[in-house]
Amino acid sequence: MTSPADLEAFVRRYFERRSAPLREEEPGVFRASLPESLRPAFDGADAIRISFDPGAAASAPRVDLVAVGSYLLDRIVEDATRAGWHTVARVEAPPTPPADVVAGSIRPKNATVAVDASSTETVPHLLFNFRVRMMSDERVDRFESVLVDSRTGKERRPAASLFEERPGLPEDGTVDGAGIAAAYRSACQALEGRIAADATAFREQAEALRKAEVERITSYFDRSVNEVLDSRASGASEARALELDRERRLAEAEEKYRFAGEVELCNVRTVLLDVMHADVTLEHRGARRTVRVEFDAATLDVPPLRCEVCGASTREPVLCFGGHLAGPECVSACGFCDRVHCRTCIAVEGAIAPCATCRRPACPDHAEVCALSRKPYCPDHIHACAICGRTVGPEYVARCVSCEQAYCVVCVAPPAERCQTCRSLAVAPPDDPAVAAIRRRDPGLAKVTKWRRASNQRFTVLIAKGLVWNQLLVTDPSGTVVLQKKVLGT
Amino acid sequence: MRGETPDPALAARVEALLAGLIAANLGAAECDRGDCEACGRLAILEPDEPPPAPTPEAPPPPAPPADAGPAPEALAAFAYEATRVPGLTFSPRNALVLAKIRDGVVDDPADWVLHYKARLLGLQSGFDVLLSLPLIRGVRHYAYQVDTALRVLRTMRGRAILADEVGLGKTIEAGIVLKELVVRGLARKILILTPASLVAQWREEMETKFGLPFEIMDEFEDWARHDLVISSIDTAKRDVHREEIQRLAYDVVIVDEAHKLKNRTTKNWKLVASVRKKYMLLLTATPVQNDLEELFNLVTLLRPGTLSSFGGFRRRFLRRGDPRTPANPGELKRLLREVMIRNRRSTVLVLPPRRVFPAEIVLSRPERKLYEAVTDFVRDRYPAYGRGSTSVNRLALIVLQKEMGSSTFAAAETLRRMKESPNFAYEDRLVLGDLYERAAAITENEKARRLRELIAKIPDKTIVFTQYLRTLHVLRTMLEADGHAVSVFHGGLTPGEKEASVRAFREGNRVFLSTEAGGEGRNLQFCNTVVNFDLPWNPLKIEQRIGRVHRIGQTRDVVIVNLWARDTIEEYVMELLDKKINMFQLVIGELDLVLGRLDEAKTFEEVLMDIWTVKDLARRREELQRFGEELLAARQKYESTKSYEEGLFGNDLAAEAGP
Ligand SMILES: [Zn+2]
Ligand SMILES: [Zn+2]
Ligand SMILES: [Zn+2]
Ligand SMILES: [Zn+2]
Ligand SMILES: [Zn+2]
Ligand SMILES: [Zn+2]
Repeated sequence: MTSPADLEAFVRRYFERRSAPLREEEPGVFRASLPESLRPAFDGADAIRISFDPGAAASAPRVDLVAVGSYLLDRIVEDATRAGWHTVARVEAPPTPPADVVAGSIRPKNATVAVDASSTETVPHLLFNFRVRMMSDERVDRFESVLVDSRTGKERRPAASLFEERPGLPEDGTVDGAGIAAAYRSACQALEGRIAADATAFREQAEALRKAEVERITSYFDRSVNEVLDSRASGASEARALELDRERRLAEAEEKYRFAGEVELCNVRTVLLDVMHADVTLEHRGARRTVRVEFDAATLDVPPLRCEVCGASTREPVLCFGGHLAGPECVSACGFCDRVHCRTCIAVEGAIAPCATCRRPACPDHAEVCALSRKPYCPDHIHACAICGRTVGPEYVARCVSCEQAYCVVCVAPPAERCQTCRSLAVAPPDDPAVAAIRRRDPGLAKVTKWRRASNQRFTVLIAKGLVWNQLLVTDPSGTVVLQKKVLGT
Repeated sequence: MRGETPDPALAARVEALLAGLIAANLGAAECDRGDCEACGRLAILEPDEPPPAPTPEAPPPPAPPADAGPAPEALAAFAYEATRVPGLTFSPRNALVLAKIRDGVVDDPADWVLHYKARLLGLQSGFDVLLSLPLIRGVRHYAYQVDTALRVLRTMRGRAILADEVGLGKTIEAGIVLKELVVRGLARKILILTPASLVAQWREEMETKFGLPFEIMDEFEDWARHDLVISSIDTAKRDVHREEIQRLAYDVVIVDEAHKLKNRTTKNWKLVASVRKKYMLLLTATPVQNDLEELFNLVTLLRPGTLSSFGGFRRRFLRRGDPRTPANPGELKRLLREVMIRNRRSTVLVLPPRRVFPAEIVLSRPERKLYEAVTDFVRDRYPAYGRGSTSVNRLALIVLQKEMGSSTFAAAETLRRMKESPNFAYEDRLVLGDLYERAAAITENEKARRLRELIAKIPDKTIVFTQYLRTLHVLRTMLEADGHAVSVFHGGLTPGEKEASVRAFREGNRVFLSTEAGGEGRNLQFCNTVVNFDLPWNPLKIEQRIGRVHRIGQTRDVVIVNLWARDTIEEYVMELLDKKINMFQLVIGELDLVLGRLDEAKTFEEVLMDIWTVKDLARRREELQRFGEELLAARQKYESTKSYEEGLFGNDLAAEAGP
């Protein structure tokens, strides 16, 4: 739908261009004096009074409404489409350095960008404006503009500025007849691709309506003919009349719902378009990748890069550990370092797997697999047993009731639920280094002479025997007492 | 150009419209010129012919001029056939555009942009909105009419029975649908069939309100030559025309008063069934008159099979012995909803009530004497002035009698002319001369006195209707003397003066003095009081007067004051219209339906005069009584139809009713 503002702007520009600018005579009512040359287009009138507002057009005398479908707008459109078939425009590379253009368009998630080399060449393009009309018993229109590289037939998104009044060039012959024909074919193919889905839907709807109608008609006439033949002696001639009627009705239905689509080429602009090429290097954690990008001077829009995993385009690519370019959806990153794997890397380097407890992803450097469940855990949720050295997840960690330290469940065995270390306490001489250290530090224990002790890879468990109560102490590798408690003597 | 369009321009416009429609619908036609140097195939216009004109909304691609056209084999390179979208064609004209480029044509960029923007205008996307609404002129359209048009176009795919109750503007609805189809380039050849009496009115409305210039088909018209045609159904069904119509293919067929197609064995029905068309609108306020088979026939004409075959319809919906009441009313309504829209006054036009005050007056003695003398003269001469040469005199007598009901001032002028007219016999002219002297001598007017009292009492703006200009002038002088600001409105004013008069009334004047209802569509609903200073003898004219204020937009109760003098023919009028058919309580449009049920060949006015001129008082009362009974019966018949239709259709078929 055309907005009222667009319509008014168009009409104003039209009259300006035809040297008959609109002047507002009264609120909402405009007048244009038509020069001699323009009069034939308006039934010979030497001036016209128009309004864009149906209310104003109805109340002021001798005012023509300009609206879609109005007589006057039809005259304007008719006249406006008598010229302006073809222009030539030149779009030159701007002074902006290619690196800035690239930086504006490619914003990698995790890599630096450097533009290494760039070049510019002028490529003739053809911009085709098409109007598409699809009809059955209703009508749908589309307007499609297709910009085609005349050398390769490749479609390029046209910049809005290509539809403006750019200074024209007299030069022509940049594209020869064969080139025009080839570009037109490419444009038509591109156009078909754009409208195919809509056209199919439109045709199928009409087809469904036609089918329903044909069925209704057929069944009505079948029954009616039978009824007529059954009920009356004169039925035969009546039945013949019904058959005729049926033919006519069926023809009507075919006619009404027949799909017809037509593409009209409105006009064409030859665009001598500067096209830039640049080598863009992305770098991250030692990975390095160079890609060649192409962009035109009209849009200054570097096409998004392609994800090497899924092929989707992305403006925020990720350069992964293995040096691949991928879209954000196709990579996983470690939550503990800046390592990123795409799906290709995973095959080679291993997965970046989420921790079975907190779901935080961890790369092979940061993930541990539980020796008992085989589930991956992040560094925060994996536990290394000080007795056996196994790494286990939280579900396989158990605490010894005696020394109160956490070990893997294998080392804290039921039924006593004491750890392997606590179960292997042995008499220690008072000059045992660990015993001696405690005795030096704690005057209360200095006099105790009966000691038992056991150690694992991390902790040392000591028992100082008293008269009734024993003291249990646990020290860590630095000798710090991490636990001291009274326990009943044995 | 609007309204005052000179004929040549109009003709050009029609030509342009049609040429455009042809081009838009057919695309590029096969070239019938063997020597066409441009293409050998494409139809290229002669260089001295005007370029192809655009349709409203669907301008055909302007063909590049064919001068120095390229050779056909050169254009072949520019052809393209769709590969992915079946049924899609790339216009052969595209090759001409491409050839221009190859041949070095370079235009001004400003023109290029204008061309591009022109083609961007008015792209359509299905029937989501009505493009035609801003283009409709001089007529208000209402939400229910827009809903109706959208439903016809979207859901019913352009085939519908428009069965609104009378007075809701079925013609406007049909016009909107039609205009929409034309604006969208979906309809080019259109046939409207109406009763003969409505042909001119349809043509006029389509032209002025919708800008669609239809051609009335008469005896010698060439049907194929015109795309927009109106014909009476009687003309169209004559063999010679029927055969020609059947040969053509129409995009739209509209049938007004479609209840004339209630019988599928008639020529009318068969004619409409046999016309080839894509869209069809059947307009009727009374889809069922006698029995449900009529409804079946109408629906079958529009969309056969909707109500099954006749046998199926009979089994499912007809009751033995009762052809009018459906067996499955709910099921019938559901099926009808697919093809029929019936908007109802009670739901779409909620108008405030009317209050009617009869103001009976007693004539002054001199007025009374004069009225009796004139009446005696009329009664005496009326039967004698029969047909032929003296029918002019008869008309004069009717006018005279009517004017006496308005004022002696109105009658005096007629008496003066009659007494001088050679049409009347010498002795008649003597009597007329005497009557004239007496009329001219009367300066007081009882009714006018009462009007002054009324105006003094009524606090609001008031419209006073009289049929006679002389009465109007006297009343104006009098009311202005009383200090009231008065707007006058009559046929002698220019359109500008009429406009100014209405504006002055709206913006301040107390009284609007008007002869006849004049100014169709003029909005007076800011006022809610109507005084009938005299009563036209045509009830529809009275209704028109009331309709000026009792219409959509009126927010207050409408007050109607009828001034009439005892023992005059106006008392008869009141007796018949107010007492018998309660016409002042009928909704606009209903009166027509009531009167339509009268078995009366004569006009209301003629019947009235026939009764009035009966000399014997007892017989006169008897005749009046008899006519009164007739009217009453007509009203009752109408009421029973109304309640029947209420049962049959209810509110379920309104445009905005839920599915
Ligand atoms: Zn991807
Ligand atoms: Zn990591
Ligand atoms: Zn990778
Ligand atoms: Zn974790
Ligand atoms: Zn362990
Ligand atoms: Zn332990």
